[in-house]
Amino acid sequence: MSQGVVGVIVSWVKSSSRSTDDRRPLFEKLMANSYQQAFQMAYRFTSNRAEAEDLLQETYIRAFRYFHRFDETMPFTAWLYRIMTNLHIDTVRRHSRLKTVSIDQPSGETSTTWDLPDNSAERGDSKVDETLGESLQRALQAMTPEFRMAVVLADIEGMSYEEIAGIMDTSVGTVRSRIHRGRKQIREHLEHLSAQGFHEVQG
Amino acid sequence: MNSCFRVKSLLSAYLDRELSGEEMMMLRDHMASCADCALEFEELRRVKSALIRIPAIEPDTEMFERMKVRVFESSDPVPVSKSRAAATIGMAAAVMFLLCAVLKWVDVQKQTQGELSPSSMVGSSDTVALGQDSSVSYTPVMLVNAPE
Repeated sequence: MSQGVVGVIVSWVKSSSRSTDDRRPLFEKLMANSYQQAFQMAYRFTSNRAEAEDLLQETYIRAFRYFHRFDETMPFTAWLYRIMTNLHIDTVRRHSRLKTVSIDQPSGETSTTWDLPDNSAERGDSKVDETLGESLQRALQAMTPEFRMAVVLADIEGMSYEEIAGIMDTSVGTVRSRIHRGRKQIREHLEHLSAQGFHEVQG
Repeated sequence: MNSCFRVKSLLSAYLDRELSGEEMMMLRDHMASCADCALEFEELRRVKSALIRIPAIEPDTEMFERMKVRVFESSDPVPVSKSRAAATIGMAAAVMFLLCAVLKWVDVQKQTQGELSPSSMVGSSDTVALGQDSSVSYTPVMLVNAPE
């Protein structure tokens, strides 16, 4: 009879873990359909293949971890980009904080918050991959992450302001201003380059 | 011109067709007669079209497989099932405890019954007792441990 009790336990454990098993093939399919496009985004955000892969991987890890929260009425990529933009902002902030600390506080007072070893910080100044869009990518890299992401989502991903506002969790007005200022920064960057003798992409 | 400042702030939204019909017309009319704003619009349009035409970056061929392995191995336990797992372990422990208690009780019963009436030792009295007790004890455990 104790077998009956064990059977109840086993079936209960099975039913509670089934949802994870069920999610995996679906997630794998969504991942297969989205990774190439998502890699473009990650690359435009980070300007570097290795960092793009890291960012994308971390994005998928989080997405899978919180997959039960995914609202299926929403496009998967929109949800994925939302996770990616948050991760990217966090990474950039961490890098800039580390850099600020290393300049402002050479030794003396050490803060515990910044004592964590972070290998990725060393890759912050890594070279941009050689591509035809190199100068544009440099311009993107020079921007603050919020401006960069708004411009990339609008012009490379072709999203509407409302979609971008949803992804970046902000208002349409803020998106409008970020895109405008972002594009102006790119224009200035390109002008600066052409003043130095580079003949840049125009059209 | 007085409205140049306002027009310039809306040029990107105009380019993206993210303005009301009225605003779109206002900007179009303004730029027809304002070379400065028209020039700035043209520059922004070039930036946008350059970004649209930016060459795609191909991930290397093994990236997907590599990533899939890392994603599924590093995030196997999902928070939902994390709480479920805790509940499962908790419940399993509780059930095992009760099972031991019931078996012990049955043991004790056997001994007492054996002392009182040796004839009742045969038959399935222990099975019946266990069946009843486990089903009775199971319900409250579920209530205590069930998530949500």
